[in-house]
Amino acid sequence: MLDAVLQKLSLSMDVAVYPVVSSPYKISLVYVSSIVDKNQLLQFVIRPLTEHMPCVTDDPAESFRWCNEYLPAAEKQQASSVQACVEGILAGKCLIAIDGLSTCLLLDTAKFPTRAISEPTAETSIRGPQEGFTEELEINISLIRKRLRDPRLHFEKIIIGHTTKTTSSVVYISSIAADETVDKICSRLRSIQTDSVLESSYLEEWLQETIWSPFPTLLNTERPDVVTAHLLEGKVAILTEGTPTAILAPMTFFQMFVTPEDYYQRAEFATLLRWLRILSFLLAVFTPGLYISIVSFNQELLPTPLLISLAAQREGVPFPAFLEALLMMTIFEVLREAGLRMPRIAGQAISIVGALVVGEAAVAAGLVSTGMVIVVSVTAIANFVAPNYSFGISQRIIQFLFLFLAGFIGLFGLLCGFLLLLIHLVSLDSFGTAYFAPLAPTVLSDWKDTLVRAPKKWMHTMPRIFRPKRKVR
Amino acid sequence: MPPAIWKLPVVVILASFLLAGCWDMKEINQLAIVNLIGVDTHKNTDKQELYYQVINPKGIATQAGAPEKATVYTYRFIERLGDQFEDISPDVIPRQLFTQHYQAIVVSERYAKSGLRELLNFKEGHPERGTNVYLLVSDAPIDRIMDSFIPLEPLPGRSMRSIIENQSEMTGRISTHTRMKDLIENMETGQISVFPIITYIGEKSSENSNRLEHIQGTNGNIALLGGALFIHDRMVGKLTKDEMKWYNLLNRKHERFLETLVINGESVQVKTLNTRLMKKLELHGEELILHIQIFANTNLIFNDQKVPTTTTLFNQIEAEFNQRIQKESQRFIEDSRKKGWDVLGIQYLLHLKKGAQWKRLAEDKDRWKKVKVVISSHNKIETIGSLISPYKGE
Repeated sequence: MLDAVLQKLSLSMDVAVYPVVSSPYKISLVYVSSIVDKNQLLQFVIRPLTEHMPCVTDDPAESFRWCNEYLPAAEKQQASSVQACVEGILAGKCLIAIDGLSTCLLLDTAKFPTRAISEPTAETSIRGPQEGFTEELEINISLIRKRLRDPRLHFEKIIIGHTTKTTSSVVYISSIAADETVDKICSRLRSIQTDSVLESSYLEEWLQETIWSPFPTLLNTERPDVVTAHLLEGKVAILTEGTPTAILAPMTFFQMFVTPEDYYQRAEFATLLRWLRILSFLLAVFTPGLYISIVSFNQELLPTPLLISLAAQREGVPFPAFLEALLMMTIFEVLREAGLRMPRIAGQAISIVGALVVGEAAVAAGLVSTGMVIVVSVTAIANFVAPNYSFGISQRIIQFLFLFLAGFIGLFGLLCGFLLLLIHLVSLDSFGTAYFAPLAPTVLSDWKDTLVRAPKKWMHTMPRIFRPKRKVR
Repeated sequence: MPPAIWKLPVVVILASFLLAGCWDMKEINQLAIVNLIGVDTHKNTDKQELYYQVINPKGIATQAGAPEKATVYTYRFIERLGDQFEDISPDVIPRQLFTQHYQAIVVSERYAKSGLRELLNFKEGHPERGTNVYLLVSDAPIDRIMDSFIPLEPLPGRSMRSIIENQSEMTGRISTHTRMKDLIENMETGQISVFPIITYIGEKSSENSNRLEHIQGTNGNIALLGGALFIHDRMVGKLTKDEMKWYNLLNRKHERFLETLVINGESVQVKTLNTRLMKKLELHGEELILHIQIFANTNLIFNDQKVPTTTTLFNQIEAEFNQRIQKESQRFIEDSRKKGWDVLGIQYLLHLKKGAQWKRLAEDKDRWKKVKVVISSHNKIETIGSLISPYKGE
């Protein structure tokens, strides 16, 4: 057995084999030194084995029984197959193999490097908890448990990836979440055939209903408070080992405009801010297209002073308005990508160059008009308002599509694009919940937390669109 | 991807190329944006003189401190209206003529008197030429108006529009219902339409933008004189500025009305805000009576009385104002009747009435002349200004 296990592990430099010499027959400890707690190993495994194990019998089975009963460990497991032994060792456990026995003992001595709980980087808030998930699944589970002390909170373990063997946990409250949603998510996770899962986004691609949509049908978050709030509404969360991002499903279009702070401040402020986010979405998506349509096709729609002002700005600009917009927006996207990828120390240089390219210098050079700089800037700022990063990317894709439509067929193209977008949105589905709900299909009782955020005392019923088992909060 | 999903957008995109969009594209800086249009009859031919005043965007966008530039250029064509105008304009204008933003159309008096039917059809018959613009009749030679830079307002068309709208708001002498479409609406029913008459103050046109550097604002400027009265599509007469005020009031063309009264030998200026008008045509035996009731809330704009402002004075002002309205309205109606103008549209009201008796009365084209008009005014003073006891200076 030991030889077979060692052969499988191919004796990497961090695989350690420790022979216990005090025994009349050979007892070996096998572990991966980089992922075990060596103090724990020494104190609770090696020392008892060498100092306290009685050599009363020549029977190895008697020694195995002693180890199983007296060695202190948080988790003990008997493994009788080579595969189970290897998996245990790679999970940070210490294998005790006794000569002449076909069963080995696995003791939990794992210690993986972790980072401390810190503020979520992509979802900051002024008011509310500042804790974010970490890469450690257990810590993430504890962060949810801390907020939800309910025995009906379930964490279902699923291991995905035949090489990485990543542990995922499906989290839900059994008394609230709809069984069909939980079953659908679990079965879809179990059906994943892949070698690796390095981030929750790997799962997102497998879980989403269709790949032919720019819109995310799942929400991802770094905040345990957000996960808790969604679990309480009957949704299901998926935590993944090695990533600080949890996935939430099912999700609707209007949930993309919701931030955790909506619930940490007065209802009327939250409603106004939600409207502002929706307005920003519309601005981001339609501003470049509308500008191109009006400037290149439907000039009669402009008030005369604005028409004259725009005409004066465009005097001497060498490109058609469509090309000008495309150029500016592409440059802005390049700048943004550069800002994300470059080392932080080079940030100032990019800011200076960016201000020149998308700014006064470009106008002074006669390459672009001032109006176009304003349009691109408004679009860029409006893009950043999206609370969800994936949704922000969707916005950018749509704004480019609309820009092309407007550039080719003006307002008519924009109108066609808008109608196609609406058709697409109402046809999307997220684990049995219509993506455009509660507007289409109309569920009036759920409107209290859609375009407005009603005061909490009015929100005494659960959102019906997620089909929760419990109807009242 | 199932075939149906990718087929739909492909079909939509391909079909969209059949639409006029792609070749409708015109860059904003390729447009000759027309600000004002002028029309006159050509002296020696049956053609028209067409003036297109085109905006120079760079001239408008001159930065503060820089010298004024030419804000507009006037192009003159002698052609028959509707004779493939788009064919001749590119001979001179290096940009695409864009007529959807013009502010006003000025026609010469002689052209107005010859009838505007042809012009209206020309404007209405093309989707890019709207009739929702102010129509003005020029008392002066039209080239003088079309070839002049106007002080204070860089675009002459906008200057005319602003004057009309300000007058309407402040004095009520000119109505904003003086657009080409108003003439079209009244043309078919035979109702009277009144449009502002403008003139040019000065001997010769101000063709150079240096004029904008001159201090004199009045000289070399346009001014509104009164109204041109149209029956069907022809100009048949003129109204003075004062007569226009009564015409607008009795036809409720707007809610403002400004009048200066003399009470106790001193001036009092009043202005109505929300004038309401009720017209009722009744038949008493064989006699037709048109009852006109005027209701308005009045503001005291200027009060030069030597006595304190009391309720007694208010009552006096209200009574005087109501009496003035009744008296002056009657005089205006009588004067118009003598000239053969049905300024109250009585004949049209007769046409709108249902029943055999009314139909018989409407058959008489001059019946409106025999209708008795009874006017009653019910103005109430609402605001009184800020000075209750006047300064005496003693």
